Amino acid sequence: MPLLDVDNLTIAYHTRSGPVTAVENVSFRLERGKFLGIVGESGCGKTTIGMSLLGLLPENGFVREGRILFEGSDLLALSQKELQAFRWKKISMIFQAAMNALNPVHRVGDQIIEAIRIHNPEFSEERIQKEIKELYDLVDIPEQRIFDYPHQYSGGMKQRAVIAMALSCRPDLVIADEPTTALDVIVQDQIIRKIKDIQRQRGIAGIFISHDIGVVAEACQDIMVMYRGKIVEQGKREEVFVAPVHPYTIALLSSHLTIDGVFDFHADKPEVACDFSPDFFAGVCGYAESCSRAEAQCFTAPPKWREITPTHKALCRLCGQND
Amino acid sequence: MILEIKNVVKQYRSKPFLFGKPDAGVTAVDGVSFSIEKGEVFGLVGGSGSGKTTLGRLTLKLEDFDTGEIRFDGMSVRDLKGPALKAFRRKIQLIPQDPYQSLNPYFSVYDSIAEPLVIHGIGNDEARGDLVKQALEMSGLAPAASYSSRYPHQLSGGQRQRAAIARAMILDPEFVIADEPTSMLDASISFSIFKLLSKIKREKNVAFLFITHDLAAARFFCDRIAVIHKGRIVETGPTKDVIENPKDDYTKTLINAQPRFSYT
Repeated sequence: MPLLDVDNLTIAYHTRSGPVTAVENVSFRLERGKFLGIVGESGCGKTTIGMSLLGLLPENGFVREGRILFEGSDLLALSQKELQAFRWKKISMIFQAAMNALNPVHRVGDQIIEAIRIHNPEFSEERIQKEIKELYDLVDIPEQRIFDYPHQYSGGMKQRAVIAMALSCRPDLVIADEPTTALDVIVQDQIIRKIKDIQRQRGIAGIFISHDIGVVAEACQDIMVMYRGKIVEQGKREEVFVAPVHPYTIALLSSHLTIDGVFDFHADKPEVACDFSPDFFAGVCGYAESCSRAEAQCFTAPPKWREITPTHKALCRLCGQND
Repeated sequence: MILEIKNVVKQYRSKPFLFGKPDAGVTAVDGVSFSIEKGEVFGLVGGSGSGKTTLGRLTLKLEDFDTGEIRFDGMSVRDLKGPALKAFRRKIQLIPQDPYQSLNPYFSVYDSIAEPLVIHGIGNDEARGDLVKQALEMSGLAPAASYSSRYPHQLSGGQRQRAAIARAMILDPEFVIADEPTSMLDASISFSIFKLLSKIKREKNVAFLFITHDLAAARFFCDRIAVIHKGRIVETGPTKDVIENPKDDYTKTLINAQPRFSYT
């Protein structure tokens, strides 16, 4: 049984002009100890997926369809109270803008201890002290700094403290939403290495959400590319990044600047269209109007999943054909 | 040569608290020298706190430096005042980092972009209208009519940055300082912004000082780069040489920290 099995998930938000679909028919599986990367641009629905796994959708968000099975039990069927027991102990999250996730008027250590205490009321004081020292050791912050205030930490240290907090109840799955955005490249590199180390040491699984494909490529074995609320390509890192097939993935990769020019082989470097038209989910391919390869059918019929290898597939009627 | 920076030093000191002694201060820029030719794109690459943004502010005369010299078009920037300062500010422009904060939320796109023309007393209403339209369309906000009456909250991040670029270009400057112009944007959108800046460089022969922490962006956009660390330039040269053949240890660290796509 996979650790996480998301099946046909569709999420919408109520707005003044009626419900708007943010995530449509998303299915994926995650095994224990593996890292999955979700890449896509702002507004493609990647954060919405992360929030739904923790039952933290904003008030106007709702799951329209689908199932989220964690170790076989359906997360969507749980009450808020049951979810609370679940959160942090089984699934935790490293939030976007983690620099602001710490309360400035409480000592950092106390904030982490609070999380441990709430979720493990049976722990003795010594046990809690031991846990927090271990956590600080794990994220490489010296023990003397445990009870400093957030403003005394540098940006990278705050980020590591937030990672320590996410790991404080020894979860099986950690969701990291843009964990390194707003950090310097050198600090970013340290954080990614740390996350990979921790994955090895503790055998946790993770979902890495980012618009920066470089970060995702370093940390994750499996990759999902999202566009306008749908998965458009899915596969192993080597498949999606080395031999992409969906025209959107190709455009996204070629717009990514690297110092060694690995993606310069996509000679024409197509630009990714950033203006969305309002008819978001009209049952046809969402990328057709920006796609250089689109054929008449792409504008009239829904796109189909094409299997390129048993682990690599793309939502495009033109992909995987001989050409 | 359009810009020449020689041995510039800038220190920040905190005020003493009550009876305490003033502290030693922080030397943000510590003896920096470089020069930029007309029409050249020069990249200043460094991590947070390296002093790269301070150097940009000193060049724009938004702040004064302690010692050294900055010459723009042969004139000493330190001594500029009155009409000469106003003429200087017409030739040098800034594309700021954060398009969410750099546009006045109470100004329409048109008003924001036309404001420099008003300040410098250029043209009448009709001529200004034409110039704004040209600037918008050159920046990729076409048709201009559908953008000029919008307010910043009605634009996406990429569109805001395009509006900020249109405003920087409306006075036809000779020199533009772009301070991390895409760090708030998605990778795919930042790529289109770099394409736009490259086009402006080509068509208008503008020189750029491009401030960034991203070597990959510098590789795409810059003719020459300087790597700055703790207020000092540690290495400088043609972009390709520095990236492929780094000499300095800090440059090597910076290059090694870039995400790679080799799956070993």
